Amino acid sequence: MNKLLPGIIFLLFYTSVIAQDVTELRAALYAAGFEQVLIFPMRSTSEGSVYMTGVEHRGINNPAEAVRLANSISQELGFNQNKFVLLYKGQALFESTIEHQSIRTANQNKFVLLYKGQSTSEHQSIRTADFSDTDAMDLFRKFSVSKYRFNVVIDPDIQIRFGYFENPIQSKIGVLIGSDIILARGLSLFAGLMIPIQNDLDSESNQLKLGPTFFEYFTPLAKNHYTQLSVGLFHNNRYGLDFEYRFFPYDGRLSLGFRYAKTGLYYFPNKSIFFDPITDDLIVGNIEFLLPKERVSISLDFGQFLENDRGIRFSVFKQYKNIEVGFFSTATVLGNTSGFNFTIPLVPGKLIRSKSIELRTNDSFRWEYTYSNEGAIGREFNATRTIKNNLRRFNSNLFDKY
Amino acid sequence: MVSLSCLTSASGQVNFLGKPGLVRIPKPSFIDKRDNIQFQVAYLPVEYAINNFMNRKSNEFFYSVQLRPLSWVAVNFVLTRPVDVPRIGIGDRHLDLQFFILNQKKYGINLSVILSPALAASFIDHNSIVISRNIAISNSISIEPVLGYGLEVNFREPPKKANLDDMGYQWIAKSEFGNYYLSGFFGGLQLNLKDRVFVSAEYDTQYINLGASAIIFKKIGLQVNYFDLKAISGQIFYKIYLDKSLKRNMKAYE
Repeated sequence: MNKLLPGIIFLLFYTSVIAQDVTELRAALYAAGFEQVLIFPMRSTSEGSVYMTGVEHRGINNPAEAVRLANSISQELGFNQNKFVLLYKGQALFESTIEHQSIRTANQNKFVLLYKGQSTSEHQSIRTADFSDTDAMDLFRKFSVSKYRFNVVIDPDIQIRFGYFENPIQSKIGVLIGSDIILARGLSLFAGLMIPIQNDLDSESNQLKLGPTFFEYFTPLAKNHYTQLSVGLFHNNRYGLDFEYRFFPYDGRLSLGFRYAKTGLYYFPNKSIFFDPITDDLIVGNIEFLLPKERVSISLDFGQFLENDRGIRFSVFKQYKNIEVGFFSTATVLGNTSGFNFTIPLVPGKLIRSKSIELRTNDSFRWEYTYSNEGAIGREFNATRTIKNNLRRFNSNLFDKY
Repeated sequence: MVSLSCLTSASGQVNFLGKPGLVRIPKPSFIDKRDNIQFQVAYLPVEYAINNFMNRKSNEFFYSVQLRPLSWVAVNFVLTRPVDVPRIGIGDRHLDLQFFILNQKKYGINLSVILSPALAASFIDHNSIVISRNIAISNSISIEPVLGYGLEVNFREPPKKANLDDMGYQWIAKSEFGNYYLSGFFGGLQLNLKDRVFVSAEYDTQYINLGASAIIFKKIGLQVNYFDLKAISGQIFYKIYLDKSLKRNMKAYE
């Protein structure tokens, strides 16, 4: 008895310390902007427990940076071997672990490697892996909609038409205040309010109006196979239904998919909303190949674009740390054109972050320039929401390179 | 050679189109190591202006964006705006590609090819080949002789008023369109002081030009040009490095 009591006290103390640590970790990750934060003990080792941590960060557009940030927070709190499962709208994508490798350089007999310009004895590399179905079940059991903040995003909406002689820069500028409200795992309602600032591009009125508002359901069908279905009023004045399928192996180089959308135009003339009939079929296939060393994706879209325009679009995307730059050329029945697009994080980023609400500027503001401004040559819509564009940065071959 | 490898952190001088170069001529080498996007404004006085789109010239501004998505290819986008020519719209746009085919480290010379299709702003067309070699003089000084040839013809459709039997795509002399930029052999010499200060002298197939530039904070470039040893002009660029971590993302990181 004399020996047992201290043992029990020690055990109680020990478990409470662990439990408290996990709470602290969850709070620290949540405070840094992560959402969900689902923590599971997986196994104990001599260096402590290994935890699987499901995390989602909607304010960082580079998943590798999200993992590094989560890892550094975990390390500070003494969790050295955490595995992170990247979530996208609560759906688990894959698992990442940061490995700390010591590398012996050729000409020196000590462990030195240049990392971010400073010599350290360690090199961090992110290793990725599938996770088992039971792990996924664990994650999904803990998933709760209430573990998301109410996320309000400020996003400028800038449409410019260049080149008319009398008015060389016709523009339509507004600010979209939007929110992705997660309703269930994978299911969200994007609701937006558009504040027009100026418009000499089209006949839409300059009054406060409804922004894009749509339901969107993202789900993996099987390992590496993803689908997304959306219904509602989309970006680019299109409304209707949008379906996308994509085969995307997170550690592979080749990905492919197709998109089918049946849409019509909607617009806001003075004090009203006007709907054209839903008659426009978009059926576009895509094949994309990643060159990981160059961080370049070569992408080919083909099929029927908006306004029954048929043809191909060839694009090249380069990934930088928080920036994507793309160049494209389109050849369709309506004509040929080319241009570029970029996706950048806007300053200043986070404005307010509390326990239940976050107000920030868009982490992935996208803008596209097309040389020809006559006709809708090879045009798609809602480009910021397609899984083709959003999963691209989740390719784990890129993780150690940006 | 050791000295040269120490000199690779900053950016080099660029020509008025924003390409690695001297004053008006391009060069086949770059010293940027980190990925960046460069925005430049250059001013050309009317005597040396090259935008003849509206059949009259004017003092003009060249706005350019330069990006090297791969180590061996650079994309250059140029918008030209004459100052006092009315009804020009947004200005004339031009896009070209520069391929860095050989580099000195491996082959002893730098060689690059510029493909500049005759689309909209054809007066800037300069399909050309350029070679150079960097010669270290001391630890902090090097000189780079540059030699190149720009095609004097273009593969394009003739002007509508030409009234030829064959109005399809064909090789036509650039001078038919009043375009003389980089037609024929050009060359120059650039002095590089610690990758921060550059002095250039060149023959651009029409004029002899001088230029001097300084790069500050590794991202701002200020340059003064002396066209034809007669007119002074200038240009300025700003670089954004693309692989920088956002501080706000990494507050707890490192």
